[in-house]
This record gives sequence, structure tokens and C-alpha cells, in this order.
Amino acid sequence: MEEIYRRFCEQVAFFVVYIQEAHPTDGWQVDSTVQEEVLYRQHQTFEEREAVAHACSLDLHLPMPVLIEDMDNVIDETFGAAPERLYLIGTDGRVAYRGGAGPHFFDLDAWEQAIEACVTPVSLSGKASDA
Amino acid sequence: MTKGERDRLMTSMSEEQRAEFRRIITALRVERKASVGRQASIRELVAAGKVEVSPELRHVAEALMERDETGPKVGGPVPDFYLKRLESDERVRLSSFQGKRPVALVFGSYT
Repeated sequence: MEEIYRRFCEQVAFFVVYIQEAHPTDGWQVDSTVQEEVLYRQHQTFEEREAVAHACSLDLHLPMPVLIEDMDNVIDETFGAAPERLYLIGTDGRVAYRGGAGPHFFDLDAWEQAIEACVTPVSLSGKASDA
Repeated sequence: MTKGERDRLMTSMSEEQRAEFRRIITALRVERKASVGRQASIRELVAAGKVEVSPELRHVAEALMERDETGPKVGGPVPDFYLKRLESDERVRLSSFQGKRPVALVFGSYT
């Protein structure tokens, strides 16, 4: 994902939208989060959600800016986001790509192809490629 | 169905059912990647008989299909949002990018 971000960040606005926890300690906890010691309860306040998002951003070295979902979870539900999902919104304000329900159907390759179709990629050398 | 309701459905499965569900997911992933544009819906794949779902897991598959279908559709309008940016007092409005640049969104959480 970082590679996709680095490749297209000059033409595309990337955002992580931080939503409710997928596997909180007080909900459906899974072995991987226990093993990796990523142990957080479901956020009770916006400040708590923001704090966990901050920890996530630092620990995972997220290169893209992070937006915080409000505690009503309306955006999450509207986008069918939880636990994770990819979208691409075109300059026309319409959905250019809607990823499958994550995590099982998370498809970075398809997302990248959709982004490529939206922009003219800039090579790593900084030169715009021919259309 | 809310996330909490889906989570309860998932955690109510027996080990045997979970193993079967993982098989179904794996098969759906393969079929989806092979579909046109890699964007066939789960419901389309199941309806076409690409992947068989046992009757005892039909309700779990239905929850998965429902979530897969939730959200603004390709080509359709996008719900606007105005969300706070981490480590900033700034709020970002999604619609402010219209006419300027595409927006790539990654929804998720740490756990």
C-alpha cells in the first residue's frame, strides 16, 4: 500500500479513515491481535478513538494522512466499511472503485488498477509518463 | 446488520463451521479475482454456482453478502463527510476534492 501511495500521492488525495475497532478486547478478539499485543477495547469516546488511531499511525508508520470517524459510526455504516475497505472517488465525485468487504476481499491490485485508470502516473524519477 | 451483529454471528460458529467458512472465503476470493474487473459481488458468484454454500452456513454467507453490497456503488454518488484529521484541528470535507483530484480511501482500524 505504501508503494501505491508513493507512486500516486501527487495526483491522488489518499486518506486512512480510522473507524471502530475490528477486534476489540471487549468484543470479537482474535488470536493475531493477542499475539501481536494489539489490545484495545472498543472506543468509548472520540478522544480514545483518536489516541488509538495515533498509536496505529505511529506503530505501522502510516504514510498517508488519517481522518477520524465520528463516534456515531455513520460513515462506517454508509460505506460498509467495517472492518476494512478500499474506495476510490473520481474527480467527478462518483465512486470509481469499491473494494470487496475486507479483510477477505481486500484487493490492493484491483485498487491500484483503478487508481491508474484515474490518473497519469508519475514515475519514481518524477517525470510524468506519456499518456 | 450492524458490525456487532455480524461479529456475534461469526463467533457463534463451531470450529467445524469456521473451517468450512474459511474454505468458502478462499474459493470466493479466487472466483472474484477471476471475474471481470475483479469486482463480481459475492452474491453474484454464489448465485452463479461458482462457490457452494452449505445450508447451515447460508445465514453467515448472507451476512457477508449483505456487507459486500453495502456502500455507494461504482458510478454512483458518494456520501459526503467532514472528518477531523489526526494530529490537527483541521477537518477534511470529501466533496472539496470534486473537480480537483481523485480521493483514495482506506477504511480500517488497528485491530
